[in-house]
Amino acid sequence: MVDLGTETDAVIVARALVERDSFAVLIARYEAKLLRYIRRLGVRNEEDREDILQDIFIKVYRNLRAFDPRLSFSSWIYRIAHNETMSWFRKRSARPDHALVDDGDTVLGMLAGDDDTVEAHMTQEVQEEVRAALEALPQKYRDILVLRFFEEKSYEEIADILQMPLGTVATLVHRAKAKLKTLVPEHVYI
Amino acid sequence: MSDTMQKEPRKDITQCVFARIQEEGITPKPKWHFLMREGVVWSLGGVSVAVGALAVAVTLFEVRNTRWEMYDVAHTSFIDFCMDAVPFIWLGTFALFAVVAYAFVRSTKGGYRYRFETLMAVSLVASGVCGVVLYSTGAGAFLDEEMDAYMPLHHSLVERERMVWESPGEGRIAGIVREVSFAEPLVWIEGLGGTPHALDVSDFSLEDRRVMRVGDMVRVIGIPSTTTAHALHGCLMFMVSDDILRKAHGALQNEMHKMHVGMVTEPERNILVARTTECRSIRPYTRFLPLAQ
Repeated sequence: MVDLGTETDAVIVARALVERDSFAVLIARYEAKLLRYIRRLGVRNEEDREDILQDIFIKVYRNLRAFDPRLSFSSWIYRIAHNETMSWFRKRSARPDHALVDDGDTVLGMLAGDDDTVEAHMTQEVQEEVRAALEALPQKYRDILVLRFFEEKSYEEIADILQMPLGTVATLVHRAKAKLKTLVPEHVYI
Repeated sequence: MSDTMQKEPRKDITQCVFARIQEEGITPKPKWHFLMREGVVWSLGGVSVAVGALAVAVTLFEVRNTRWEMYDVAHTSFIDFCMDAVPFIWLGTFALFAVVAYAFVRSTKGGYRYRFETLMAVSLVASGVCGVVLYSTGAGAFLDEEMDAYMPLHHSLVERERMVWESPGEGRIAGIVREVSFAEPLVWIEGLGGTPHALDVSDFSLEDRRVMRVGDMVRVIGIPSTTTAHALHGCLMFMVSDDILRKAHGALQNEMHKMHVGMVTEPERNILVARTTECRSIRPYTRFLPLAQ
């Protein structure tokens, strides 16, 4: 097999359509990222996460020809991951069980701050308060904050992942942060 | 709990995925599958815009051909008239299909990039522009009449004219003048349903009766008769030049087909002076009278 390690995702997609084994490169590239994303969306059990991940890659493989090279492959695969995970929740009539506990205080500090770049060092107690507030947020706000601050996606990428207009993404991020502020005590803000 | 602290070793996802692909014989779907889906969604969006356009065409036809100036002939107020005259069902159809078109376009590959307001505006404008074009070709008039048989809530203009103007008991008659008597103040009118009605025109001047010629189509507002000698005591007469009323008259069916559709009526000639106090109670009289003075 040709070494595809340094090739772009789009090139590997084209290659995988000709030679199935090339698809392994995409799996290797996104496995860890997507597992983490699925966990952040609220799938706590590891086996469930792995099952969902398998379904995601199977779906990606089935729909390889639907990939539009004008989009980034990353956004496309995150979109499939998001939809598959939400579908998994619906099938099980389960609610997302958020597990942001392993994320560092920087992310939570950014969330508590007034802009997207604030790096705050918070005490354990404050982190807990922000985390609790995050988990109390409505799903649509939580999804968008996870993508923006935990997955560090740009507004354009979020728009492609969640399939909504760019302006709506900006509005939702703004509203989500505003809502978060109402849920955390005042002393959290730096 | 952190992922690194899981007790069991993680599965080899790559191996699992490839095993499933192998076992289930999974292959990438062909390109045409996605192109066809996209094509179907765009087509359905287009069909929705077209249905919206037809609704616009009928709405335009009805609004432009409704006799707004005669609202109080059969209705107690302008609002009451509007409730009958405004084609809510078509406006509703237009709005509904604008939303349906939005939903289809939104579900195309790149549809999500556009704001709701933008897509709705495009959908409404597209239906509106196509609707105006369809109206100008006569599709509005055609649909207005044809849909009578298929839409229980829809009453075509022709049907509404019949309901309003074939009512001697309510003081309204429209039809074709078949005979004008100069010996006595009587005129025979063949109503929209083909029924002949005798009309007492004693309140009309001789000149008015001269103007009224056999073959003319007229609307007459008057007082329902209490005798068997005639059906109506005429108070106001309007010479009719609009094709809607002509269509409503069954006897003119053949003639109707020769006429163009999508027309705007010419101004009617009003003969407005009531000659007896009896006619002063007729509702549009007070509105028309000042014009005649």
